[in-house]
Order: sequence, then structure tokens, then C-alpha cells
Amino acid sequence: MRSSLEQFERVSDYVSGKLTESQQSLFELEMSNDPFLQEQVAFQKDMVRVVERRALRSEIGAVASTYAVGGMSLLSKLLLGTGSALVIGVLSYFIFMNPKTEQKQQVASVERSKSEEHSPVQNEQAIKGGDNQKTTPATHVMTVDEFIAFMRKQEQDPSFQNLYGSFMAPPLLGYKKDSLVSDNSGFVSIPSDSLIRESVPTIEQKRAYIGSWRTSPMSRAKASKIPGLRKQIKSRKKAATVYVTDEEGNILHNAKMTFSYFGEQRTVMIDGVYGFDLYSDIKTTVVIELENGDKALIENVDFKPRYSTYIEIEGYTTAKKGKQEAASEPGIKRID
Amino acid sequence: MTDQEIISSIRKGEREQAIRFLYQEFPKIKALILKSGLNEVVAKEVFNDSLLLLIEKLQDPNFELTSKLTTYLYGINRFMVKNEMRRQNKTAYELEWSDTLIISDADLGYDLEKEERLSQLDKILAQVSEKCRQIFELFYFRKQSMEHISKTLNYSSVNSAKTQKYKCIEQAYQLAKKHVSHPESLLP
Repeated sequence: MRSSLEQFERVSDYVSGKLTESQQSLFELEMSNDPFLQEQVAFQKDMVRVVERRALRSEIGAVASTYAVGGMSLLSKLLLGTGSALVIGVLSYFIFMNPKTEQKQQVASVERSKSEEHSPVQNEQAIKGGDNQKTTPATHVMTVDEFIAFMRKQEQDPSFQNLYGSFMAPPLLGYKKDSLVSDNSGFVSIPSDSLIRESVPTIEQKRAYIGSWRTSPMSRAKASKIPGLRKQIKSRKKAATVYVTDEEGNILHNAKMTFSYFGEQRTVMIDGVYGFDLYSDIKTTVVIELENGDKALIENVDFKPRYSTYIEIEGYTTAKKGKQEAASEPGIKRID
Repeated sequence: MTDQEIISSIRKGEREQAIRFLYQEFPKIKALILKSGLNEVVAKEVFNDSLLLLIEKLQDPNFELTSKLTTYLYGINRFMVKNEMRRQNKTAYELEWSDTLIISDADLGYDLEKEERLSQLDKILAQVSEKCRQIFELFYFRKQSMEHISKTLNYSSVNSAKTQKYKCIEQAYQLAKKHVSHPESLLP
């Protein structure tokens, strides 16, 4: 563009209607003899239109994403209500019987239900599982020593490893020297996530679950055995990590995540696990794009310092799609 | 909501409730679109685009509604379906839309060439940096002052925010030049 900053500002003011009547007349006279000025005005007018449309599309998309429930007929709502009651009943049963489901929280990508806080107590209780959960759910706080002892005992159990092994190990095994992130921190607010929604206006909804897991002392101990990592882990006491799994708990590689981080929209590649510095809890909307192009929009995802968040995509199984390889040791890779 | 309430809230920039109300027409319109031979994904795109055009129309203070708002929405959808059918070289099944308001390009102020140009620019905008998109949104859509933008986006001064805005426009312009073989075609 050949224009100077001053000329650009004049064009900008003209397009925004900020010029006085006399300034506007003068500008139009000048423009009538200057094709380049005409071109700039036309370009900026188009820009205004496109930016307005993108924002509008985002608003429409937000309504459209909730419409699956909101727009149903009364009969459908009644049926849905009855169905929901049944589902809640069945789920309640399994929540108390199945330790794996205990740690899941359904994310209302379609229904927009609000995810709840995941306290370390709840997560530790989920590890503990068994009868204790039936009688005293989320009331017993393990000490660190108890927790380590418990983990050592459980690690001997193959079935436990199948269920939880991948949840515990990735955040620390995946750390690589070059991948450590030096993010800004200390911000206090998260603005609208409209830009995230805008980036996926016609999202193909996948149901997803999230859960969070406190980075365990055990995992720290494991990491400390990896040369050079101890110091880095120590310096990352406030790190939060996130990883994506299929419905069988296999860690998915090359999952692209878009999320809002203190006002900045980020898209990162989760190659097994992604770690970032975090000094206070954030709640944000996350969009996960899988390798096959499937996308999931998950609302109210909590990221917490010292916690690992996992996002499980229901209905997506790597094995079903011919990718039989077992979940390998994840690595951290960050792209900005 | 009455038609007048919808128009009034859209003109005041309070769109969410109005969009939600109008979206209730989606199942019926989708059924018509599907009967026309288009698939569900396209049906949603067509409906969303039609809703966007309707809102743009309603935002124009000179626009006068001469029918029921939902009738007009059906009319725009019919128009957009015909466009899509033409684009896909399919035959339009007019029968299903027989009772629907007929809206022409001129009624709607719809210029296919311009729409394509805007679509091209939309793709270009997706390529500029996130910071630039934020500036554009705040300046062009939210109509915020540069003073406000400089504070919101943590610029050291209003002048540096202005410079950044200039650079962003230039970045978009350069991308447009790269993508469109004749930049002058951006003229209306």
C-alpha cells in the first residue's frame, strides 16, 4: 500500500463516518480524482463488512450450537426429559459402581451444561475407588504419604494401570527441554471466547468429557529420574497440562486445541500432552480438532495450576479407525 | 417477540434474543431445504447465511419491512437455496417453496460478484494475525475508539495502536494482492 499513515487514518475516518461534513466533501472531491484513494476506501469498506459479518456469524453460530435442545418440539422435550431421567438414573448407578466413570464430567458441548469444579479431593477419591466412595464420597482427604503409598500399591495392579496409568504418567514423562513454555502470567481476567467460536462456525459436535488430575508427587519423582528434567519440573510448579484421549483412554497425538488464554486465542498442537504455565484457575471454551478433521467444542473447561486436564472424545476410538498403535510416550510440543 | 421488538433489539445491537427467536424457524425451513435436494450441512449454512442477510437488512435504518418478518426470512432462504442450487448445477424444486415470498437480487441488494469478493476477503482475514483480527473487531465492529483499543490491548500509547492498525490493514491488503491477481477488482 502506498498510503502514509496519515492518509490511512483519513480513509479510516471517512469509512467510519468520523469526518465533519466539510471534511467529507473535501475528501470526496479528492477521491474523485484519485483512483488509488478510491481503491483504499473500497478496500476498507469491504473490511468493515467482512469484520461485521464474522462477528455476526459468531453470534449466530453460538445460538445454533445450543439449538439442538432449545428448538425441539414440546413432545421432544418431554421425551428428552423422560430419557434424561432414565439416563441420570443409569449414570448414577454406574458412578457409584464404576471407578472409571467417576472421574468423568460430561461437558455440555450441545446442552451447554456447566462443568463443575474438580477438586483434588474428588480426583483422589476417584483413584481410591471401591467401597469407600459409596459411603464417603469426596470427604476423605489423603495426605501426600497416604497418596504415595496408595499409588505404589495400585501401580502393581495391571487393571489399575489400564484405567489410570495413562492419566498419571503423561504430564511429566512428556516434558522435553525445548518444549518448556515461558508464557506471560499474572493476568486476572479472560475475555469473551467469541473468537474461538468464530474460528469454528460450523462445528461438527462430538460429545466430550473432561476431568482433571492433580499432578502427583509420584509423577514428579518419575520425572526427576529423567536427566535434566528435575530442575525444569521444579521451575514449573504452577504448570497446567492437558491431553486428549479417545473413548478408550488412548492418548491421541496431533490433536489441535484452540483455547482462550488470558485474552489471547491460542492454537496448540497436543502431541500427547501440552503443558503451559498457569498461576490461577482459568475457565475457557476449548475446540479440539482431531487428526481426521473431527472437531469438538467443549465449554467451561477448567485449567488449574498443578493439574492435568484430560479431554476424552466419546465415540472416537483410534482402534476403530484402523490406528491400532498403542498410546506411546507423549511429548510436549508447542506451536504459537 | 413481535416483529417490531425484533427489529428494535437488532438495531440496538442486542441481537442474541432476536437470533434465538428467529432460529425457531430453522426446523421448518430446513425441511424445505432438504426437500429441495440439498443436504443437512448446506441447509444449516443456507439458513445461517439467510439470517445474516436478514439482520444486515434490518440494521439498515432505511429498510422497510412489507411482510411478516418470518415470511421475509423464508423468502431469503428460498433465494439462497436457488443460488446454491444454481451453484451446484441442480434443478430447483419450486413446488415446495410455492407459498413463499419471492425476493429478487435487487430486493435484497444481493450482488453475487460482491459476495464472492467479500468471501475472498473473509478468507484473507482468517490469515492475518490474531492481534490484527482483535483490532479489526474492536474498531470496525465494536466501534471502539483507538484510545479504548490501546488500553484493551495493552498498547503503550494511542499512536502505537494506530500504527498497529495501519500495519494490520496493510497486511490484509498485501494478502489480498497475493490472492487476487487484480487488486483493482476489489473496487465495488
